[in-house]
Amino acid sequence: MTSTSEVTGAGAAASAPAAAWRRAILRSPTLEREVALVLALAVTILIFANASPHFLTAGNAVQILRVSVDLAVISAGMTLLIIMGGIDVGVGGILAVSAIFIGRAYQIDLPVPLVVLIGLSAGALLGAVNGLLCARLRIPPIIATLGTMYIWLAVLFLVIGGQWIAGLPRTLGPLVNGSVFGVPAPLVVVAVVYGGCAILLYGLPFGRHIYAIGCNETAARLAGIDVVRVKVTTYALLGGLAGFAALLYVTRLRNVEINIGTNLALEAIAATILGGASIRGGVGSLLGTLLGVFFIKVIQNGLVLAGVSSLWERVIIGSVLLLVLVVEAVRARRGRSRGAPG
Amino acid sequence: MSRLSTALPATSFLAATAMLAIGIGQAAHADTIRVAFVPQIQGIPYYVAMENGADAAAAEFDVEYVQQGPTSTNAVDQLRIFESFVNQGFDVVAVSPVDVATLLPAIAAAREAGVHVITSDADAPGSERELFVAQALDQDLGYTVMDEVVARIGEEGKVAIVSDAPTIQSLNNWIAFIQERAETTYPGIEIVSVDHTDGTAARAFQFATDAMTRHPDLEAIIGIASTTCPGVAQAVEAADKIGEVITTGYCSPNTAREYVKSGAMPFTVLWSPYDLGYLTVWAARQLVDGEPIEGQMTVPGLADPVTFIEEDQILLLGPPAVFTADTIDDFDF
Repeated sequence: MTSTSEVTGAGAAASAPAAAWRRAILRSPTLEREVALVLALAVTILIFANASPHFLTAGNAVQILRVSVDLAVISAGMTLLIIMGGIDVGVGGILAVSAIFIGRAYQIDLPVPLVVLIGLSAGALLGAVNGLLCARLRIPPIIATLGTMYIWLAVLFLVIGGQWIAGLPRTLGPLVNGSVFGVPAPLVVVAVVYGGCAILLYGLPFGRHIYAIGCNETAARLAGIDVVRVKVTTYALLGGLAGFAALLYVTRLRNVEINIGTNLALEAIAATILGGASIRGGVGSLLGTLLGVFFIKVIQNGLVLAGVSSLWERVIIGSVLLLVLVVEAVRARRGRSRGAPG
Repeated sequence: MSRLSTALPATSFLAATAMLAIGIGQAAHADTIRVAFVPQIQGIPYYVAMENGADAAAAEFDVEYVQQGPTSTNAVDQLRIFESFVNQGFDVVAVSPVDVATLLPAIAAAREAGVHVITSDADAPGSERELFVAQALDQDLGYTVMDEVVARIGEEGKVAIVSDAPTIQSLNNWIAFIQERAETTYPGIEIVSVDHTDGTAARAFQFATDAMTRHPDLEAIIGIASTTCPGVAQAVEAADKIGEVITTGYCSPNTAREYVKSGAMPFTVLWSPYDLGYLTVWAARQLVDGEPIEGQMTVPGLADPVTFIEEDQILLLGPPAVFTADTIDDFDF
């Protein structure tokens, strides 16, 4: 429990907001990872640009943004959760159930603001259930979220009953396909979500509580932090973001299919870990996560454009993830053997 | 086509479940036989339609019918369900394999235990299954899609294929026949890529979009499973390329309907799963009763005759159907 990053994280939890911002930016334990990811992304882009003349075009960049937006939104919430020492392996199930509520709400012609409200609250509510299971009943997060995911997926089967919800309206389409003063809308959506999460994480006491719980939950409790409240809120926040992602998904694909959300949780966790978060909690970077999301989506896109079989995609992402974790483990061991953190 | 226009009875899901529950509760009397079917996935409209057809045949031929599949196209989950039906002593267990290799030993063991095993909807080549109840020949399906595509884009052009999991044998067979037709009959058609999704519309959308980016002159995208159809058609709509790029595939009318009408997917090729489920139960009954299955036969309840192909032990429902904007509203699955 005395690795470099965790100590830094605990420091951040105790200092004033301004210092926390400075520390977050300048002395971030994940700065190295972010730089490495930018370099990796640059190299990947160069390789693909070389392989296909259609890769490095504005149109393709916008396409990548459009298909990244739901994963990016969910990964922001996942980052906060993993920093807090939690995890949600069933967030795809939350997206699925929210999508059903959204689809049904559209089908009975509810006004759009109400549809949005329903989608967001369905997600937040399901997230809060996970939070209560983890915080109140102390069920390990992987087990709790896996358990609820199975229930949500069963709900999906029972409600849809073998009939996909199809042909939904594209009223929210501008959020994914539009643009604001020439800036593609998905970029604006991502900026708002990540900006909001950054303020929460680095600017508000709530963010310091997340770090504190992720570093040492017992110490956080003894320091007077309402651990249950923070945990439930963070799980609910991820749930709400999953509800938002469901809105984006439904508006983009205009149907709710039986396999909706498959692989989403794993991709979000992969992006978060790639981005520098520690699965043990206390460390993580929103910027890193966003880079991780783009890394995954650029590889998915680039392989197709380069004419490489899509079967290689998981091999590549899996290998990069393992590489990152191995490097991390080796460095952690060296750090410990020197016995001098930081 | 008359065979296909049989109206689907509005059997409710609950009613079917209740019937099953009662059926399992009572011991089968002498004449009733118990037939189980393991589809590739539970809960998609296609297999629900098959179940409706099977239920109708079950009532007709004194059969107790149960249908249960995995919740994702997972070979191991499917194997578990298959084995549980064998262990429960069903007279006939039918299966649409997700992955043939996984099922081979289980099929052999079931036969050894005296259980009739048939494949339906998808085959398990090289297994000890007694019969394959086929909706349409893989070759006919592959050729039909290619012919219909060519009828719309001409004999020159680039075509991309987006499929579901690479382990589903029937999908791979159709792809192979599409490719064979292109190579042997339409040398001007170039199949530029075959990509595999995880079953979500999002990935199908992504592959279709990326294929259009890579080939600005792409003329057609074929979605090989119903899971990929909405995604590929939506990609063409989102790219504003209706009329420039056509999409098609083996898509159930319900998943394709909106896109068939918008013009993004001018046609889709499939068969009636209702009739296929019906034929499966009929074949199971014939098998248990030791009645002959041979040549051309008329099945009570099916409009058109079915054909038995001796050398491969295939019971064939008929030629594939092409659904277009004019006909698609006659079908609900």
